[in-house]
Amino acid sequence: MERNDILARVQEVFRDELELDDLVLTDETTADDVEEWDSLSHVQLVVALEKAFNIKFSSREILSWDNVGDLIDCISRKI
Amino acid sequence: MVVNSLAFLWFFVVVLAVYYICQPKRQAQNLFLLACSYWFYAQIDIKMAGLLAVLTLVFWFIGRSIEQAIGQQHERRASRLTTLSVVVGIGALFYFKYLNFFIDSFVAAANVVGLHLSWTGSHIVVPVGLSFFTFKLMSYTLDIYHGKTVHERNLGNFANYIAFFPTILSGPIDRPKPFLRQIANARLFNPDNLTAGFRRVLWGMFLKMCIADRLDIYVSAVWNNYDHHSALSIGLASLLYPLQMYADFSGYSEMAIGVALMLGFKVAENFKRPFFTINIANYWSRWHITLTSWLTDYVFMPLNIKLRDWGVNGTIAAIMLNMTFIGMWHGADWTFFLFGVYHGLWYIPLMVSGQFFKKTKVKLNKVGLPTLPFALRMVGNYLVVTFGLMLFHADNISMFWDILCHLPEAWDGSLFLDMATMVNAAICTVALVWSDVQEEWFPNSKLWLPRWAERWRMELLMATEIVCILLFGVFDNNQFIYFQF
Amino acid sequence: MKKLLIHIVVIAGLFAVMDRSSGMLLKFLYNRSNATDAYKISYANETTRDAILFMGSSRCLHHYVPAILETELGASCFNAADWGIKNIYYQYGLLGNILERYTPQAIVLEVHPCDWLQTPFSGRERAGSLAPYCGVSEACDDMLKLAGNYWPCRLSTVYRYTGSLPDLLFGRWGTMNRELKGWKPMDGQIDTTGVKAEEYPFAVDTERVALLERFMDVCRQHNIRLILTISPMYVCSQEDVFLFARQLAAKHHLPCIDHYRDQDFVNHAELFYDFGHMNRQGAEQYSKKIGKELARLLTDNLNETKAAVPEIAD
Repeated sequence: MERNDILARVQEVFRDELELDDLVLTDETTADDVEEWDSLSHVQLVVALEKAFNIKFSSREILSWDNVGDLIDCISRKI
Repeated sequence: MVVNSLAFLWFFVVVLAVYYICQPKRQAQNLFLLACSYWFYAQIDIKMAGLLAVLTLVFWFIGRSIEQAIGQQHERRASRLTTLSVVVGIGALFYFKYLNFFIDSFVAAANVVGLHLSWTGSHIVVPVGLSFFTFKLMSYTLDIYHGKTVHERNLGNFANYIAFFPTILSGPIDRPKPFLRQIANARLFNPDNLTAGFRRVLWGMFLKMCIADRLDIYVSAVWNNYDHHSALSIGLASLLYPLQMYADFSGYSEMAIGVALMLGFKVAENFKRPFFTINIANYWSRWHITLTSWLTDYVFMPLNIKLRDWGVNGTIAAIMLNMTFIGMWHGADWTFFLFGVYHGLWYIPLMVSGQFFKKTKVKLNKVGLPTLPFALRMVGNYLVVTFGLMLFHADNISMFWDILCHLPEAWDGSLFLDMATMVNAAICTVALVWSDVQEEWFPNSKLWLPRWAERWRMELLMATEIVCILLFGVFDNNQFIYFQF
Repeated sequence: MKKLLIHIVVIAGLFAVMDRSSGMLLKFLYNRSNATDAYKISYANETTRDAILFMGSSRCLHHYVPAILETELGASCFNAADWGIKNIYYQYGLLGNILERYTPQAIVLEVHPCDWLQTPFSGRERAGSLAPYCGVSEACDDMLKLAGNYWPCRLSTVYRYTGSLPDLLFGRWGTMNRELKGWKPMDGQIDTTGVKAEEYPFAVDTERVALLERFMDVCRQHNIRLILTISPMYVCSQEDVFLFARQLAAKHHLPCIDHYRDQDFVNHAELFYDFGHMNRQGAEQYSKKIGKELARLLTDNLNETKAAVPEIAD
């Protein structure tokens, strides 16, 4: 899967979970940039992403992401 | 040496003078700061200063080893080293703070089932600030493991982070990265920092000496003699206690933050007007912020992630454990355990209803203040906090139970009031409420001053604060209320 | 750096102005207040010119009725005592301030063990109540230095009134009736269940004893007739807790009237408000009794300079 495709899919999941229809994600986006994205919604997002891509992250991986770019790198390694 | 004492004033004036004379030599400044921090801590207990140094060294070495292990792709080794550091940190906390409590409880439980064990508790002195600096130590190794920070090669810098005297005794609990970034450069003399810092120290002194210590005169008089007081008096004392705690703790945090700022360091905020919140989750995000966020990042999040497949139940379990830890962090007694559980239980309706995961915005009316429904929710939240703090305040479970049983008996008693104490506290509380309301809902407004005085706004404010501290502050421990019983 | 120094100077200047002007306003309110502390301390320090002063702790405050005593003694009387377990530190400083204005003819000092024992509940800090009178007399300043208040009071006039703003603002509605000339009557009766005698298991405090003796010397130097008194308590200790006072008085050739175990009062619940303070009825009865005894000691000597032979009544 192409990186851009992953980004698009991730963006879709975020939009669904955070109920933000016009959210736009880039590699540099962090939780500070999106008001609804905090430590609580983070876990919900993880669960939704795991379902969407049919993968499983380790706790360490989840805690290591600093921005969307890290997240996408992690996903691309797994699929 | 408490911050609002004359001894500290002399200490700090000397420290400031030498500290800024050292500049721009970063090494000299940092060395001097470290010496001051250890001297300050040694004044309280010289043996514990030794413990502090040992723990600092241990964690520095572990941190270095973790980074090396990660660099060499030895994941398992890094993981084990991190676990080791957590065991050491929790172990130190457990030994000094909780060992007696757990053994006493175990013995008591054994006696209940007929096993007669004898145990004379050994007198273990809890090092002051232990709960604070062990958390800083553990966040260092955990952050290295998760890639949030790099190992600090300069041992002196790391030691400064752990022993930093403004925050070592009662927080705020700083994270490694922001502090280590600041210690890496010399702090140059900056008049703005000195004045801004001093303003915060003054405000902290006002909160502590004029509100917290003043309320304490009444609250302690009633609480420590609850069997002689009516339900009304106990009720009032309980309602004032959260306010007293807020003024006391945020006052102390303000002083710590102010002193740090005068030394050129920006440390984390600890309070954000916690009584303007509408549910318990909100409350904890604004009360003792650095503790809540530490536990959120290092306890709740990992737990929540591990249990994420259980859905809401997983989050509930994570919260209950998290809140229990928050409770127990405060002290070694069942009252603190129940305090944590009590707060955890209040999260459940929030999570089940989904409110926990959404940020409810407080609706404002035309004037710019919260509408009545939201104001009532704030009051309700305050009452929830009040009951929890009654548990917190009691010396032990039996005292708490005694007080509850005493309430219906003393239902028709009269209200004990000491007017002088109440009026003093009320005047100062009005100032606090005014300030908090302004910061929360009217952050851009300023107190009106005539045009010619505008230039001296800051100076006028500070002179007024000093006068108010002198007029309303509690300066001795010999205050008593003439109460006949 | 220069900017900072300007800030500091301006703040200090503004503080000095605000402190002095607020202090003046507070002093004005202090003198007019009818709250117990404000009235008693200010009137005793600044205004009274009565011939006979009654000084001591709250026991003196509640027990000595000037109206009755003036009749018995034929001279103007003022009850200069205050509550809050005031001890010799306070009395000595107060005397110093009074002597700056005038010399009373006689002083009746109601003594309490906190005047010579190391009582933890009443110590040097009691002199802190003289804070508004910092700078009036050397004796008072010495006491304030012992209490640790001297320098803060010297530097800040507002600090002298710390914590007392409510009493000053609402002073008009204070409980003291100025017509009673300093006496504060207590209405009510003691609840006798479980009442025990107060004990004083403390060592002798040489500093306080020295102050007591200086108090006596100062009175002698100014030709003030000094009489020590001990009023009754509801229930008495088995120990002779006032022996020290009687011995000290005898050493200085001063009369000491001891009614501690007076059977006319001890165990009479109707005369007491609590274990150590008599109520209105008890105070009036006691004042009549002690007034007669004081009259015997004083009337001949009010205008004489040499001290009479002391009588120790029982």
